[in-house]
Amino acid sequence: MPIVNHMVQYSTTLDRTFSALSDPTRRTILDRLVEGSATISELAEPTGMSLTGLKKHVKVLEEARLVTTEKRGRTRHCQLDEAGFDEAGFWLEEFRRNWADRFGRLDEIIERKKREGKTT
Amino acid sequence: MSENKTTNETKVSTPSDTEVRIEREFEAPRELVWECFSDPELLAQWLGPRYLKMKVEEYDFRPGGKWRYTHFDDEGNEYFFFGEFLELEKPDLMVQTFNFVMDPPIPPAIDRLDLIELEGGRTRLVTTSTFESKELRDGMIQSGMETGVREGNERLDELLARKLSGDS
Repeated sequence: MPIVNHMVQYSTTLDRTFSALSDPTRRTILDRLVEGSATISELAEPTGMSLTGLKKHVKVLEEARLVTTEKRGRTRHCQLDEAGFDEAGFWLEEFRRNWADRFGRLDEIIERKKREGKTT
Repeated sequence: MSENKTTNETKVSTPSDTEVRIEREFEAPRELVWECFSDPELLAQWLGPRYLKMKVEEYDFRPGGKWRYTHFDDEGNEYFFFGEFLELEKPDLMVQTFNFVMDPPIPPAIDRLDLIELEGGRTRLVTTSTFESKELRDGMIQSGMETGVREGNERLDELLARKLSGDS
């Protein structure tokens, strides 16, 4: 079942992408990287975070394929992996979430209408 | 009140290059789901994206009738949507054109909503939107970025907007 495996893997990547994007510190890191590549310590400086803490965030972004890193000498340089943003599935998942959100509100209205129908 | 609250899954698929389909089940009979689409006051309570408010300017719910609504935020950003109801067969089927104000204007999509009766007074909603081209369909899917991702990170927003316009 290679196709099924691929789908499972794919949706796991997307889940990672979205949970990576949901954290404000990681969005700040991405925001900085849109300007260009930076080292771990350059990224850590404005956040006031320890290097260890920042490395963890970078690793999450790397696993979500939003960031790539490269070791040059003794420093690690981070840059945006725009390919991660380009995948069709990225937008489709965002579109789905948008509608899941709306339908969640529609559920609430339906429940309210059902209760009103019962009491009146 | 029985508290067996489950959220039904929202499924999205692309049956062809020019279509996008959304499927969702609801814990209510079709008439009630229908009402949430046909009553503009109810519609405004759920259809807008999370970070935007919605006002319905026109909603002439009958075949040939026009509809028009706006999504807006506190900073003065506004997004105008409009269309026309083509077929309304309560409680089975709604077909409408769907468009939004763009410069230059774009051809409308056709939205088809099928409400399918399920056992136990439940409903499956299947909406299928058909676009004139794959590019228009993809553009619509990508406009979904308005919610969820954007949280006020300007450069990230710009990057996403650039991706959205396909200019990468």
